[in-house]
Amino acid sequence: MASWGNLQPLSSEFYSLLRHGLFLVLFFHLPFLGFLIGGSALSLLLNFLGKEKRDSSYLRFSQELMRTVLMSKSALFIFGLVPLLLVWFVFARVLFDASPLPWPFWAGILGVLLSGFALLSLYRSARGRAMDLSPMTAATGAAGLLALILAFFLFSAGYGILFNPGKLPLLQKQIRFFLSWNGVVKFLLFLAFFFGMTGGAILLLCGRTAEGGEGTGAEYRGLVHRFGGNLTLLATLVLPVFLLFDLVTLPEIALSAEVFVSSAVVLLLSLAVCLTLFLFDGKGEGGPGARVVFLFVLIFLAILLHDDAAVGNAYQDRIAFLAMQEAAVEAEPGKEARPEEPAAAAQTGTDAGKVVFEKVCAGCHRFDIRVVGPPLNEVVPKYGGDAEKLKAFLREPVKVNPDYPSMPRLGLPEEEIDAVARYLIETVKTGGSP
Amino acid sequence: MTRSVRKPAILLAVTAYFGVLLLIAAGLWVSWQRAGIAPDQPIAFPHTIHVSKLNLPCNFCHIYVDRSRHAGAPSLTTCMSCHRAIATDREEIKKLTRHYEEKRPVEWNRVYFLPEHVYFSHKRHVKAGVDCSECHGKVGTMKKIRRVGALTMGWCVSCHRARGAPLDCTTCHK
Repeated sequence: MASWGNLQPLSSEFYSLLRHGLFLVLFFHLPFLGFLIGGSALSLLLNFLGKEKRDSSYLRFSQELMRTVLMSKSALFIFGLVPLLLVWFVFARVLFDASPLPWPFWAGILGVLLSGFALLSLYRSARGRAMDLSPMTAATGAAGLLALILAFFLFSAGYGILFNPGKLPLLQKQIRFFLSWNGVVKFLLFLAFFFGMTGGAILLLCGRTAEGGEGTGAEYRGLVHRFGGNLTLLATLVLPVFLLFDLVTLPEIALSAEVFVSSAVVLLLSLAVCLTLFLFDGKGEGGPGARVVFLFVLIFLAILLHDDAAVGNAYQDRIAFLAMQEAAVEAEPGKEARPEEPAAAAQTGTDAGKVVFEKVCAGCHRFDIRVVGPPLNEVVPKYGGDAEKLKAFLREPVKVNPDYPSMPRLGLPEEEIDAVARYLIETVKTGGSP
Repeated sequence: MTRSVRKPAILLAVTAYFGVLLLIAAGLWVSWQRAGIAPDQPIAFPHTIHVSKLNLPCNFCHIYVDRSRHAGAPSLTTCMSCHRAIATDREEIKKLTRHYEEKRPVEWNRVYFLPEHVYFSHKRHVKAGVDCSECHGKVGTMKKIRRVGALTMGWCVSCHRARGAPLDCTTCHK
């Protein structure tokens, strides 16, 4: 079992880069996957209906759909596989930074997805060859579709965890925490979006065909139009409900005004889609196709902005923490430079002590006067030059004088304790001023 | 004829449907704001400085965290032991000093609530090695404290399950 555990921790900039990169990749990948899922599902449904009703226009529509959504192998590669591997990389890096999720798990999801692609390709070429399909071919298509949906469900589960970083430590202990309500809601939300978008695209293509008028029967166009319109309407009515569930299942730390406003924008855009469907119900150029597709692009953008803002909120303090650590490392170049100067080691002993003193101690201590803690010229001589005793105190401070607040445990590394102890003893001995 | 009557009715129904959904979204927004995940405090105490810059351990101020159910807000004496001398010219420290001199405790606004029927002990959790940040987040990055852990029952139980802590009802509901 391999793990991602021994990767370097992320820097704050890399975190932000990964996060925005993720949403950029999703912007191209999800619509592609959506058309594939929506189109194949509809094609299979039409195949079934066509056989029931013995109506060849259903079968023809089913065929045309598959031809459109699985245009070419290179599109599958560019919009399907490459982005997916990138998304996997981000998940592995951000989510499972220190989590021992086994690689077979990831390989398994990828395998399911690849077999989905392969089965659907098979279905598409069989669909293209004949109007009448054997049940076997239809079953191949259905299996491909199910594989795709399963892979997308697992993807959504991981995506859901992205919004709840508090779950990461739990995930390290038990893999079942991979599933969350938020993940399920994201899955349903995107599925509704996929079908709505596919319906919109069907309306658009239907309008185009009407313009071209290449021997397409009015009956066929009517069927396509009806299907596209009903699918879009249904999906658009359902999508906002899942969006509200998303607001309920997101951890409260991930919410913010932006998240609510972008949700409201999605609701208004969905309303606009419904109104467009009713107001422009012509089949020709004046049809709703182009408008609906445009509105769906806006809905998709708003959903991605909603998610991007939520992830940003959820990771806010982690990213700030990393940035602080980086700032601290930058402000202290001595820490890394020190091993490179072995020359004056003996002398740097007290110099290093001085550095530590100014960084850590000087906030509360002076040699000559009381600040927060006592003047060092008063307390250090009590150790009588015994560095070990002083070091023991620095490691584990105890309250000595009730007039002062207790000194916190500093948690310094041993060499810094050693350096500062020697520096204090030296300085107090030689007159007590640095 | 029927179509022209039906169309406005459908449009109205759809608009009303989305209107209701928008109202629900607005309601969720208001309830999220009311829940106050980062309430204003009477004195703007910055954890950023005390935790990240000064590296004070949590129990330097929250002295009861490993010996009581409650972590406790520090007494003003603890604050004043340093702030008698440090940053005395700042507005917030002057407020603090006034409280101290008038022997008036600071009424901090609660960030984390548990209902009365839940028994929770900080001591237990600290002793079990749960890091403070697992529930409270990286407070060192917060100028104003935000609630990080959800403190819902599912949230508690998930962690208990993952860590193999007791799942018996009476563990938390005495």
